[in-house]
Amino acid sequence: MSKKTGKKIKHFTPSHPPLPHGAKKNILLKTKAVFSSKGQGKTQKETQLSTAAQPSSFPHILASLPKTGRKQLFFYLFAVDPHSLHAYWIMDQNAFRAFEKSRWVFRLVSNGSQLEAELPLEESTHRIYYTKAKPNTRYHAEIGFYISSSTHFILIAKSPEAHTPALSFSAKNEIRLATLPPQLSFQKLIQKATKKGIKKETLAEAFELPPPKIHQLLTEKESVIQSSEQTSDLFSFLDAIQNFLFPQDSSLTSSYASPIPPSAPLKEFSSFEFFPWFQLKDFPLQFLWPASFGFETKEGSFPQNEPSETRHFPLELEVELVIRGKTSPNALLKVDNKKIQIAEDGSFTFRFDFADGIYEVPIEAFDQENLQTEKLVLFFSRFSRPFPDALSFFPSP
Amino acid sequence: MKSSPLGYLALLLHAHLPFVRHPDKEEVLEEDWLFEAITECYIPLLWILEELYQGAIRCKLTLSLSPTLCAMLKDPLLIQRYKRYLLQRIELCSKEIERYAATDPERLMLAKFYKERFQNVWKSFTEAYAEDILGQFKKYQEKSLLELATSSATHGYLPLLKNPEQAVNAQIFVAIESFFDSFQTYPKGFWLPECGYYPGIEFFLQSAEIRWFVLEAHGLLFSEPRPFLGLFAPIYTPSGPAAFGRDSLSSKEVWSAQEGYPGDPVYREFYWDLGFESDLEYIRPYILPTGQRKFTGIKYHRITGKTEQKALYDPKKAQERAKEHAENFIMKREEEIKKTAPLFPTFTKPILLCPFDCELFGHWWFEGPLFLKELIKKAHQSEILELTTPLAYLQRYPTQQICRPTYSSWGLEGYSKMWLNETNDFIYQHLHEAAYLLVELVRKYKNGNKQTVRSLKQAARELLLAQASDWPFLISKATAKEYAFLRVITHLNRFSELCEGIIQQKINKSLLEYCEYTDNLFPTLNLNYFS
Repeated sequence: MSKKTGKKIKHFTPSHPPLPHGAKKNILLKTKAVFSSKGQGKTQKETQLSTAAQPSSFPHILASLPKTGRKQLFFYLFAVDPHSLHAYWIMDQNAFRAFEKSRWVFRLVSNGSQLEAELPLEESTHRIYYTKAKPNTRYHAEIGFYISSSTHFILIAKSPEAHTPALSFSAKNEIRLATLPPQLSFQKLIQKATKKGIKKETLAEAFELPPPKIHQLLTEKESVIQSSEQTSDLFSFLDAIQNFLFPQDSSLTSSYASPIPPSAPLKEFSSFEFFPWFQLKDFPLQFLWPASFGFETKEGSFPQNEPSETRHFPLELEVELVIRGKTSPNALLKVDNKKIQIAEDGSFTFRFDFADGIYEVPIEAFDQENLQTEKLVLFFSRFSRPFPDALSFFPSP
Repeated sequence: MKSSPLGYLALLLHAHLPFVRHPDKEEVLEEDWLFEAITECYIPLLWILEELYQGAIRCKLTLSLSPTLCAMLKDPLLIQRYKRYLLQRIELCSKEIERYAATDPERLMLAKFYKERFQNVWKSFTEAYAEDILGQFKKYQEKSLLELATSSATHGYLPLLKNPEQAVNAQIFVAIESFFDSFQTYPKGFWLPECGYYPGIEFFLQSAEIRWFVLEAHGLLFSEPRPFLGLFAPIYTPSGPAAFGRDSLSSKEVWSAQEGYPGDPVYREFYWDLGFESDLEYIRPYILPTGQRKFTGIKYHRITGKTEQKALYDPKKAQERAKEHAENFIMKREEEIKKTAPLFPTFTKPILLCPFDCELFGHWWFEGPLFLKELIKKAHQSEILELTTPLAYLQRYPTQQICRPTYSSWGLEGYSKMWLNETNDFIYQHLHEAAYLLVELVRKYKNGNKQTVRSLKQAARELLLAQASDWPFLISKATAKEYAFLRVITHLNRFSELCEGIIQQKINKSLLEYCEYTDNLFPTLNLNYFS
């Protein structure tokens, strides 16, 4: 089976590093291929395709899967990111050997028919990375060969398609709104959609609002964008909204407001690089958890908050403690070493501010007639915390 | 309830740990991952929920629990080992109190602080919760404080498992089934592991009656057509499930180097742990039997700064700072909503969805649970925003835009690089081959004799375990790399041997029993999900 792409064949000139000492031929090597578009007379371009290194230990200890008798060719292509694709394949090595004098190639084809890259293949190569893919593009990969010097490509295997993700906002601005009744299961919604001749894959379409209704909903607002409203031009209104909701300085919303530079690592998405002063030698990494998140520590303080008093209604307490008692009418009374007035019947009242804290208050009465002394010590404390905080720093059961 | 908030804030905690259970070994370092998470994250989270509930504070949180985590939280062996772990820590704290009683009042105070904390954890786990943490989460879902969601069966990174499609189908439906086993109800929300989305995944979610999932910001923003309300509103995927975009700004405030709260100098230093600090002979009974040191959870220092001279931790100061950070966080969300709300049409209102790994709060960021509690309290007081859950929001605002999201994840550079690169790519060939083989064997043998079906089910469990996103992640990060390698190899080898037995119709009974005993999750696994 052959396939013509309608484009001049491009050639790669792979430059393989020497095999490491003792390496078996079937261990994959990382090679860096240099792209040479000789057919178009262009200068050499830097790498797009590379084959991958494989840890040598893994395949030796992994049992091979049992065969079920069905001959299965594996050839897959994955989008890694908007600019990278990864392909791997498992092929019958006999196929290679049967045509070993032929020129085997790996080809990458975009949008069904555009040959984008081609790499000579060796028997030992089983996977490839391509790093110059175009975002939001359909790709498939092909493996095949050219017989001797012929330009006739014999296709042996074709991968399923992979679609690289978009890297910018869609140019499509249409607004289709749907109301999906939350109380109905998808099963019920599918039944309703089927009656309208709509497939379950596009279920939401069955509940799409008609354009006049959408227009009405979009203009029913308390918006401050007066100019757009006055023109009654829905799309100028939407532009105004989007200019606001997708700011370029990312101060309001996503850090993805502008397309992500493919080469810029988004460090905040990576993990375990936090705590830059953390000494790996001190803590073997196997003690760390698997986690896909990461955070980093910092030295500086965070931006100051608006004082809470300005934002919430105040709740302040002034607590007084009143101590009432009775002693001999002639006694001399001291509370916390302060002299206290005694009423004619010997009663007394003492009041003091009761702020948060621990108190130890000596109360001493001296009977001047009998020259006797009575002494008590009051112990008490007060702690106030925002309800319903627990008693300790961390909430306790 | 506020009469009319300008917008909504949805906090989502994703709780996940890989299935780590080694019944054939007395003590395994990696089992501590679960024990640390229970102690530092899940029980403190339950304390918060109880406190907020008792205080009549309006709380709406979304908690997605991975099926592997649920399986471990229910496992009698791991529960037994967890209690041993806790008792060891309480004992160690007592020793520390004795050690510092006369010499170091500051460390003494901290040792007492940890002892009281471990004792409270013990009391909650064994008495109040009757060793049933999932039951507690269920209770708070019933009280409408929580919306529980699920994730894929073993946290497989779905964009790289879609060959064959049955592998994705099984990851989703086994998860749904497992959720039902745990909570006797079906989830409406699904956490795509690592926010890993590829176009088409929503078809499976629709079949599973999943109403919402979460996308990384660019996954939603680069949708087609362009979502006109940006990240401030969900979209409906063409097949129905709604997608919410992660509010990157708030995530950054919690995680990033520049604005991240957890790096504040007064917070507790994660890496300085008694297990590594103290004399080997002293700590020996509390580390691995081989003498290999490990974390004990007793940490005396605060982050302090970029220095090796770490100051001692002051819980009160950290507590104050967590409150300030919570206030700051809410203030910023209010600002976002205040600016956005006037631009919104009246049929919907802005929502900010802030997802975090649950284990960030308490484990990595010790003060995280406190921050969370204060944040919820501040939100309760806010006149501008109200806490909600994705499902509650969709019930209130069922009219949204139809868009097709784009392939994305929240991993390195926003796509699949973390789970597919030159360090770990060799895994996928084996995973895909194995999945195809299983699909074929299920088709052929699912109506076979009892032992064949048992073997098929166990092979499916082994494959699911090998598919966990944790293994390529750990290999990629060179973190617990050997363990991750071993796990992939072990499960694939067990899978191979089980399949060999099925094909040859010579079931190795002892192998089957051993695998069933060791990898005992998903007891009611349904093979039809692979066909």
